[in-house]
Order: sequence, then C-alpha cells, then structure tokens
Amino acid sequence: MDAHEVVLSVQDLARHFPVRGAGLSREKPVVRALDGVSFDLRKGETLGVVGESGCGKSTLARTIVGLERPTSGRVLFRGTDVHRTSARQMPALRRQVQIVLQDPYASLNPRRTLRDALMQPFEIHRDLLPRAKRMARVQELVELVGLNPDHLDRYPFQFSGGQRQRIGIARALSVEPEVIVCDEPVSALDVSIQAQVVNLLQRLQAELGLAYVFIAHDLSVVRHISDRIAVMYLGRVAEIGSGHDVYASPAHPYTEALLSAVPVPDPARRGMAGRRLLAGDPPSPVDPPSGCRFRTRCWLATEACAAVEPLLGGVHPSTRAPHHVACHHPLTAPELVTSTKDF
Amino acid sequence: MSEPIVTVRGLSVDFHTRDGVVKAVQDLDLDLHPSRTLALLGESGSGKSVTAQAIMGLLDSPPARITAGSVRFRGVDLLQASAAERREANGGGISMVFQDSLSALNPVYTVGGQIAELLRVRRGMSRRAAWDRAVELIDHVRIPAPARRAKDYPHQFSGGMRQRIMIALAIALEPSVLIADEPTTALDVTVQAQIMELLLDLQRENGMGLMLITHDLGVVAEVADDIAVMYAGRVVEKGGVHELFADPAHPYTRGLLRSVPRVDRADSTLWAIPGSPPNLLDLGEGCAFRERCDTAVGVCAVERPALARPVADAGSRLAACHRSEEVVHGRA
Repeated sequence: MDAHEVVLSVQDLARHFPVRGAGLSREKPVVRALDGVSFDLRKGETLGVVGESGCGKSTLARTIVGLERPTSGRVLFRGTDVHRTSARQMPALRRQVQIVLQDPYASLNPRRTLRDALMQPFEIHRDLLPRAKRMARVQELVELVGLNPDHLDRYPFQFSGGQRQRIGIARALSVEPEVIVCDEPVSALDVSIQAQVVNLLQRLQAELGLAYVFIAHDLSVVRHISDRIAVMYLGRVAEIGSGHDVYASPAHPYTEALLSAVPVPDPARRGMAGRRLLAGDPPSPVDPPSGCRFRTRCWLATEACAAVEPLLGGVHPSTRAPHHVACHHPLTAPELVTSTKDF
Repeated sequence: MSEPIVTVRGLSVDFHTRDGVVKAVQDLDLDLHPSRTLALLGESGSGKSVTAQAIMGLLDSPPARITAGSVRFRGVDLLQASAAERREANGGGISMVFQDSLSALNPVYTVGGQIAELLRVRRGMSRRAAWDRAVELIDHVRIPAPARRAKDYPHQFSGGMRQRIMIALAIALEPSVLIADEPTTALDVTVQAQIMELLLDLQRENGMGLMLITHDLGVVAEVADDIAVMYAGRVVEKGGVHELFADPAHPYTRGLLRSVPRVDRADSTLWAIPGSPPNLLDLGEGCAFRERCDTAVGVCAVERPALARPVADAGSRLAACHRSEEVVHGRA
C-alpha cells in the first residue's frame, strides 16, 4: 500500500456563523470561525493542529466529521466529498472519519452501560456486523483500548476520566475508521493519565494504520504525537510543515511567539530561551484585520502586511521539505518563497 | 532564609460524604516565605485546592471538617481565630486568585465597582477615592485604557483580561501572601505567560509570598523556588525546585517528570505511570502510591513512609518513600 496516499483532503474549507441579534442591517455580520483552510492527510499520518482558543481548531474538527456544514470549500475522503454525498452513501462515508472529543463524560449517556455504549455504533451501522458477532467485537474493543472486560456492565460515572477517554476511543474505533479527528483528547486529563492515553493512541495508529488529525492547545503533546503540524490563527493556517521544522525553526512570527510561551519543565533552563511575550488577545473573528491577520500583534509588521494578505507556499530552506508559511517576513527562511495575492 | 509568614502544621481535612469519610488532606506541613514562590503540585484530588481553602477559611462545613492542625499567620492561628481576626487576615493579609474568574466575579456590577466596593468597605475610602484607586489597580495589572475598562462588566473581558481583574482585586488590600489556585489553567499559553509574568512582577515589587497551586510542571519549573508535591492528600516530596527536578527522591515525582512530553525535544514513547490515583475513601495501610509504583517492595504495603530526608542526601529536601535514597541516586 502506498504510504503517501492521501486519505483526507481539506480544500479551502470555511465555516461562518451568523452573529446572533445583529440587527436588521442588510449586511449580516458573521463570525469567520474557519476561513479558508487547506491540507492533505496521508494514510497512517498524524497532523497536529495548534492555535489559541478561537482560532477555529474545534470548528475545523466538527466540519471535517460532518457535524457542521461548510460555508464553502470541501472535505474529500478518498476523493468523495463528505458533505455532498448521496444519502445512501453517507453512513459508509461517515464511518471512515470518526471523532474523539475532549470530554467523553458529556458524550456518554449516563443511563447506559459500557456494553450499551459500545453496541450502539452497530445498531446505527447495521450492515457492519451480524448481530451474533457483535458481542465478541465489543469484548475485543474493550481489550484493545486497555479497559477491563469485567466492567462492561458499569455506568459512565463509575469510570475515571482516563477510562472514559478510552471508552470514547473504543467507540470511535468500533466502526473501523481510517481517519480519527481527536479534538483536545487529553486536555481534561491529569498529567500521569495523559501519557497513558497518548501512548494508547500511538499504539493503535501503528497497529491499525489510522490517520489522525490531532487538535490540542498543549504544544508539547502535539509535538510528541505529530508528523506534521499546522499552526492556526484567526481561522487560517499561518504555517504548516514537518513537526521538526515547525518546532525547531519556526518561520511564522506567530509560531515563534506561541512556542516561546510554552514553559519548559526544566528549571535549569529558566530564562535561557528568549521569551517573546505576545501582547493582548487575538482580534475578533467577526472583523479580522486586513492583509495579514497577525499583523496587529506582530513585531515585524510593515505596511505591506496591512495591504496584502500573505499566502501559504514554499519549502523549508534547509530540509527542503514542504513547509508553508503565510508571512511577508518569515523568520528562518529569507529565501522561502511566499506568493501573494492582491485584494 | 527569612522567617516564614505562613506556617501550616499537621493540617488534616476530612469530607463527610454519603459514601463515607474522604481524607482529603492529611498531616500537612508547609512554610511560605516572603518574596518566595511555593508551588503546590499535584493531580486532581490530591488535596491542593482543599489546602488553599483551609488556609483561607473557605471550606464549607459540613461536608468539610478540619480535624487537626494549625495555620499560623502573624502570630495568630487562623483555624482558631475569631471571625473578626479572620476577616482582617483575608484580603489584607492573605489573598487568593481563583481559576474560574467568570464565576468569581459578580456579573451585574462593573469590574471597577467591584474593586471600589472592596476598598470602601475594608479601607473606608470615599466613593471617589475608591474608584480612582480601582482604576489605578486596573492599570497596574496592565489592562489598556483602564479608566474606560473600569466601567465594563466581567463578560466584556476576555479570559486573560478577566484573570487580570481577579489579580487586581486580590492585591487591592496589599496582602503579604497571595495564593493562586490554578490561575492560568483555563488560558492559552500566550496569555498564561503574560499572567505569570505579571504575578512575578507584583511579587518583586512588594515582596509577597506566592503560593501557586498547579498541575503544570512547566509552570512550576519556570517560576517556583520551592515545591511541595502532593499525592492522595499528603505531601510526598518537598524541596527546592532545582534539586527536585534534577534528582527526584520520590517515585511519583520521578514518574511525573518522565511522563510530560517536552516542546524542546522529541521522544519516541512517553513514560506513563500505570493505573489511576487511589480512592480517598479507602486508603488502607502503607504507601498510597505503592500500586502504581515501579519500585515498591514488601514494606510499602504495610508501613506508610514518613516524610524524611533521604539518607546521604545533602540538600534540604524531604521525601515520603521507603526507597528514597535509592531513587534519588538512580539505583531504583
């Protein structure tokens, strides 16, 4: 099987939300939560998505799996548009792209046991497995994610946070997807439990050939698990490239600032990394700045940044790996090609 | 080192629940010094927030009951103090910043009004003077356009800005001790860095003792002077930040340090502490960490290790582990 085959292709994806109670004016204001994001996800790969709250990470996750309809753009699973497929094909397609959420407690019915929760996917996707084989599959899933098969009759409240996240993962796996979108899967967990769940996700990926879109605000966890990383800012991708390139030599000023804000758990290195503190908060996605969206907080911004929006494009100067940065003044790569588009 | 401003000795807190008695904090000793930052590090349920609430006198009783111990501040045991002494200590002596700033602020009053009210009631300031001081404080926590922002309501601020308002409220009465309970947990890393910087600047200005409650090892490494690691209601290791990060003497501390991925390097697999924290309703005999411990031996199941200096360790650190000497020297 070709390791480079693209399983999921996100093309210029946008999702705008109308602003509630915005009056009667002709031009209705919208929140540009997701505003033109593109990337390819290859088989067995992990793409990490990072950014501050409000950058559109979760809207991206929800739109990929079909919980939100895109305002424009497309999500293709192996060439088929996830949002424009026929009603007959829809269940089969949905099965291929699953989601794991931050708070599994909120997504589990408190009145249904672990057994019920894991049987439910097979009741929805009836043709997946004959009834007689379902129970055996549930047993298998429980063991696969490291839960105790003796606990099948327990209710959600009887499980710890880490165990509930394992249930969420087992549910996503039950329909044998190729892609799992993980939206902050370990953020609600304690440090000692986080490592268990991250290791589980990595083991499952190796065993089952899964591709992950891994969304988190914890940059250390994202670096650990990702092959490639996309940095989002105000609904757009600011920079995307291999995990090593993005972290070791960020090209976008925003990436540099974001990374330098991450505390390093080593007191011997205190004060050694030159920290660049970003002032203030991101601007409102209702009315993003003209040109480059980051220019209002950027220390390198020039007049060009207000006039012309920088677009993604280019390769990393030393590794020559595809490394895209949407910036007029990239940090590490003066020879990095950035294309521009006039408005 | 200077004399401690807050001395906690033998603090034990129980919670009486329908299922039984939860031993939330047991036999806890802490010293907080002026101009120093003590990090109380632990996972959820380890007792760190209960400790802070006990010091502040904020525990609801029932279900909570302080069964033993003392909290000495300026020569007074706050646990035995009269209501008037307690009121005097809170805010002006010891103050607190909470994690959830939206629920800690009153949604129907302006933020300036809330700070001014505190100054009028506690300092007897006039309406006008209190408002002016509130604007100054809002400026002091580096909120742009303070005179205008003072008239805004809590929901009009972002999470980071609201946390700054919380800090302005906490320092309004010029406390000598500030307890910050997960002050940046709900915030983005960029905003977290701003808030920690602000807290440290305030500490440098007025020599506050800062007690930082957190589960984030990165934050601890960057700002703490001293650390107390809590597990299942007890301090299991205590010491200076450098020695504790370099050579942990408790297997739990060591496991925590190994299990965090780091932004400055790539590892292939993470170390994971197996299992989950014990049930505080039924801790039983022995060391509470033994079932998740990779160095546990027979004695760990029968005898609870006391907090003691690891033999042959030159530092000031204490650990509650039967094998701490081997752990600290990397032999276990």
